[in-house]
Amino acid sequence: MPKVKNWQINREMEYPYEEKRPKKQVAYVFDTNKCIACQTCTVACKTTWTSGQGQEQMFWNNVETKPYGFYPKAWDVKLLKTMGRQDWEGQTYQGETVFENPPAGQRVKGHLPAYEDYAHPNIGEDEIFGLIEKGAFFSGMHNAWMFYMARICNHCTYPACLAACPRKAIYKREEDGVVLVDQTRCRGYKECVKACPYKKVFFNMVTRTSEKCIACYPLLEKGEQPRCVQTCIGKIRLQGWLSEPGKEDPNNPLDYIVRIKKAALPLYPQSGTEPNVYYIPPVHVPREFLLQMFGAGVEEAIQTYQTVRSDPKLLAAFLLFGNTPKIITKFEHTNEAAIGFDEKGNEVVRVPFREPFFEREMFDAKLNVYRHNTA
Amino acid sequence: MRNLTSIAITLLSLWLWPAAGAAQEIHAPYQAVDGAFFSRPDPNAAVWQSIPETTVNLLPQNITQPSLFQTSVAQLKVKTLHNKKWLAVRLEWQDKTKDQAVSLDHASDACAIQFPVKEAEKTSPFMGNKGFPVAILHWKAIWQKDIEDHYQQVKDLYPNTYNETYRFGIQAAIDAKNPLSQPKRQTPVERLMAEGFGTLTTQAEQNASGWGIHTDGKWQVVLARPLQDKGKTSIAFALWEGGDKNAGAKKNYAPWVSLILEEK
Ligand code: SF4
Ligand code: SF4
Repeated sequence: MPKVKNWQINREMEYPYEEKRPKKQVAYVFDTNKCIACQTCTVACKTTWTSGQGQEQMFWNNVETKPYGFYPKAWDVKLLKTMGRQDWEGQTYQGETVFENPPAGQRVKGHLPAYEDYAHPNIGEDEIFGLIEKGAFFSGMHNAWMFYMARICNHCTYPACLAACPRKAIYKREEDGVVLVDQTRCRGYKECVKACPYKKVFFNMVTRTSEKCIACYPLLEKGEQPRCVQTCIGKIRLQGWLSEPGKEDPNNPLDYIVRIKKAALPLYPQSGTEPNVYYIPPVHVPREFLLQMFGAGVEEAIQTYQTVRSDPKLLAAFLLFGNTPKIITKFEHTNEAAIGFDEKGNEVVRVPFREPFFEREMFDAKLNVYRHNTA
Repeated sequence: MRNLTSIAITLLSLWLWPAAGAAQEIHAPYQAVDGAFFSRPDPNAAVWQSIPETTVNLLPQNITQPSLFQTSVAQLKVKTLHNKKWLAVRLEWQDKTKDQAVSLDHASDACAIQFPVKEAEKTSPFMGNKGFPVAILHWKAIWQKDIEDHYQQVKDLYPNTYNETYRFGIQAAIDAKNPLSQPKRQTPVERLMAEGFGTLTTQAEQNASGWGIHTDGKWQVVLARPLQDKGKTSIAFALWEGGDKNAGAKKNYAPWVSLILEEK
């Protein structure tokens, strides 16, 4: 089996196909600290792509509460169990990926969920980890935790779904790294559903084929960010292009946040798929849990995030989130504002570091009305 | 394990397929049945009573992944006949469950017969090989249900499903004309070609027919196609037991067996 380089686990690994990176890689940064689980993204995606027959329980985008929320049920608990011990030594992953040492007769380590596992997309929502003692009160820091985890297909560099398909019905686009199921080739073997560590391929029992997130490629192709990104109420998302390792551009916000400042981390990088949704870890969650979920860079990422005030360039990159439908390929900042540019170098967004402050009179003389919301 | 498999595949690709059916021969006698018989061939038709039956042993497919290591069905009973224009092959196997649904939790029963397009000796029984394609007829229990009953809907399997957004829905595979996803179909048998693992391709001309009956814990299925060979050819078999979640490469198979087309 060919050996490929996976920068997220800092080593070579086995993969059924040779390393072949796309010209540019679709990638996202999600700031878990800002997500409010409003599910606007989920509904935007659902109404755009999966409202048909056979897609009733299909959410290409879902938002689950960690640690007790899962969609489908227990997907990551099962993943962690399937993968065995997962030690890190420094930045290097010592355990096995899903491609290494799969069970006899299988291409990838995985599990096939049952239909019922998709029946409760909101299971565990808002449930906290830890007990609240009788008489406890809020004193600036909660003593129990949970956080919201928005999830889509990671358009992995080494997709497990693609590796598992015996028909080669799944392909990764050379131009942008989007991973797609060819709906004319798929014969519904469900091997991809079983193999995807993130359970982001779904089986449609009406078309009898597998379907997955398409990264809203019709939008990407006209220079716009996907629906889940555009509609995000919490402005937690930024989509852009990630450069090849070693060819990072500090003026590309994705490269800057992910590869240069390392403030956002892949989800379960130990899977080996090199997932391309990068999460800013929640700052209030126990480190052991985050280490398991986001790999070795957690401590550094949180520190970088918490000291962002002293790093105007990183702050500028963060301000680009959720402020334009356009894909930002380059950014810069002045003392006052972050500025984003599209592929052609046109300015597409300018976000002030400080929002202008307006003070309004309590009484509106023109309308003869008081401006306050209590009667 | 993987090394063993790749050695096995290397050996297989060097190997000239031994004169097909060294061990076994299936005879297809000529029968003066008229063309109408073949349009929906009845597994219980009287004509089958006089045809000799051959028992073929099945193996679990574990040459490529995903694999099976134990057969779900161990034996297949085969009868064939022809009328100089059409060939019909009747398969019978034990299967307690009649599986005619597809979902995450369901797989459909199915069976297939395979013929070499060129010399059998040079054609791999494992889906053919480059330059030596195979022609496949694939009967699917769910396709038959599509015809005799209706195209599977979610409520058939999960009656309490509720949805009010269907009118916005798209069904990409149906629109893309995936042969699996066609709500209206004429035949439960798909005609395919292959030239090696992963190359299975549906054919533009779908002129094969077939029909199956499930009674007393067994399937009896007839597959038929216009006759393309004379004298002697080869045939291979595959079976999928939906109850065991067999699908795709997870199948039970028998490699080439000689098929003698008798003149009389
Ligand atoms: S997240 Fe899953 S479905 Fe998406 S590319 Fe990776 S392996 Fe494939
Ligand atoms: S729209 Fe944004 S804030 Fe709302 S749930 Fe989705 S990711 Fe979270």
